[in-house]
Amino acid sequence: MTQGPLTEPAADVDGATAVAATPPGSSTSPGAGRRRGAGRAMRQLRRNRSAMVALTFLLLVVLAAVLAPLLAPADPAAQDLINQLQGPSSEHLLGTDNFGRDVLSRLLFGAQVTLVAVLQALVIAAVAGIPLGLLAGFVGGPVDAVLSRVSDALLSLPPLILALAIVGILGPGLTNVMIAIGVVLAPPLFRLARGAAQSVTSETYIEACRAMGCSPWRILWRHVLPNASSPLLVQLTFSAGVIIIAEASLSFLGLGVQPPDASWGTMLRDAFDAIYESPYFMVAPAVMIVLTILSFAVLGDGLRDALEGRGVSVPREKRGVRGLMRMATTRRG
Amino acid sequence: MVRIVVRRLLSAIPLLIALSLFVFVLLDLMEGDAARAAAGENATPEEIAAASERLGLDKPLLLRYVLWLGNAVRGDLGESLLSSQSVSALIFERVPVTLSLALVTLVIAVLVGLPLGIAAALRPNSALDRFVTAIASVLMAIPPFVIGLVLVLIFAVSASVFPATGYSALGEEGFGEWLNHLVLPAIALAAISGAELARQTRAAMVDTLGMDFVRTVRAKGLRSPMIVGKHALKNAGVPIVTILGLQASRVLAGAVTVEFVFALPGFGSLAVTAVNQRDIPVILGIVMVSAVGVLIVNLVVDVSYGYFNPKLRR
Repeated sequence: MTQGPLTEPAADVDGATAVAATPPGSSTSPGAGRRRGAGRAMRQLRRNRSAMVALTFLLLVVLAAVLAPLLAPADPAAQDLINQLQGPSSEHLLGTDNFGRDVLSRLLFGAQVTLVAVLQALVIAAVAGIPLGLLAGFVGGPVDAVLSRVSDALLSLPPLILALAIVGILGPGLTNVMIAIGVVLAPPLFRLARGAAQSVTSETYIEACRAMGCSPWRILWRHVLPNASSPLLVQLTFSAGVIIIAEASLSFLGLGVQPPDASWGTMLRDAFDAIYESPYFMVAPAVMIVLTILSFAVLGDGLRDALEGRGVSVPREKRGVRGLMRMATTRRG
Repeated sequence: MVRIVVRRLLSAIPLLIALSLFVFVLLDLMEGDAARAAAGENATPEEIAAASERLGLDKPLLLRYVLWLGNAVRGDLGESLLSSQSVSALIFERVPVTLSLALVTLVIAVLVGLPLGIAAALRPNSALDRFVTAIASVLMAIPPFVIGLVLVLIFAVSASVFPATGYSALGEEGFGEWLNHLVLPAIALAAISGAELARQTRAAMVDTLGMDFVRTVRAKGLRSPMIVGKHALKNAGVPIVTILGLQASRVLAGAVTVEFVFALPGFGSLAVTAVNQRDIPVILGIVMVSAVGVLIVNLVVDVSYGYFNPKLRR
């Protein structure tokens, strides 16, 4: 199959001009080449308007989360049972929830919880998936066989079911949920890292490096990992969206963030509990969840387009359907 | 074809063993808690020890695993820690609800996603194509339970068109009631699946419609509906069925939250209850039954490849 039908011809032109525009004679060391490639990818990403809008939105969310203690008009946990389920007013810009808590403040502090959750789960997934994947691809043999089997087994389960099971084992709570989601997201990273390690291991320059006495760790760290970094970056961006869905789902079920802490998922749960009294205060957390997930998806698409040709084949790997299909052919958000 | 089925079934065995061993070892990390949970909140150490013995938790891990595996192969997944009911019975009384939900979901997703995908592919870059693509991208970013909440709000709380909660079995009050209770949760689940299906159908059809053989049949004078419906769609079938197969896992995961929103007594709500009560044997059973379910769907998808593309018949 050919590449996506919507691949914009402009993308290729961009690439060509970018190559032509780089001054000749500066491409002596491989490090410089890699840096130039990254610069080109950045330029291409910057031209992708929807990706930049998504990135801006995400940066605003990060900013709002970091500045939550300053921005929040009220204590997110302060209850005011007389003024519960109020509509928007000058005192409470987004109204109050079923305990009379300020929705805007909870939304801001919820962003904090969500972003910390994303970070935690990404780190866990990366630490669990990437080194093992590099190892399996590089060493091969029984190590690879065992690790790949476990990874396949984990991939064969619906992610949320697996996360639920792990939360069932560890008990509810945000950190446990993030460990669970980290474990769920590790296998795709494992596969990408393993694939990259396998494809590079037989290259002559690795052989040369080995002959020169490089340690296996140096080869993995300096030569194999950089080759895998583009697809891993794209995969991590997509994973962030998955994490937000999972955090929201599990917190909504009462298994994640525990009250009175605010997260977007627990806010939806509070809204659901009060759905007959005041149907509309679910709007704010729902909109934030959807926009944030959408932004990560759009940014991921943009990154993949920008990094195309640098070993990015995330969807195929991610889905593991034998390269018969190509995910997400659409090039736009 | 039989060979494919047999080969795939055989390759599923190590997968299931690896998965069960992984979960079993994880579960073992909290074995003391399991005995405590079973013995009740204010149990004395002696009572906990007795519960541990009754549940077989005093035996070594590997022995317990082999015993569990031996029983599981015969369909006995052990007993729930809390209700002392058999796990298989607990699970299989919930399966029809979730299967019904999955069925209605897939019907909706196919009825909406497939035609929209084809329509978009027939006129790439047209207004309709861009509209479908944009809507699909947005829908794919909305967690099913959020859609469920919105649907409850619109159709059950404000308008009372559909029941907001509960389930009516097929045999109880007839087909109409059954469908009535499933429509909203199925729409909530079908949004993502339908969107993904539309996007993939569009992509596969654009590819196929650009191939030489399509030009040939068109030159032969075949009418457009025949070209699209018979020739192109069948050739685009492999990626479309692949996506359809992936929805099994997606629907199962979405069912966990959606069944909770709509108070459907299905597989997903059983999972939530089991996790809340930390009912280990039930959790283990749920994991294994989900894995087997997903494997069966994958098998059906694999076999169907042979129909769409004879080259894949080995």
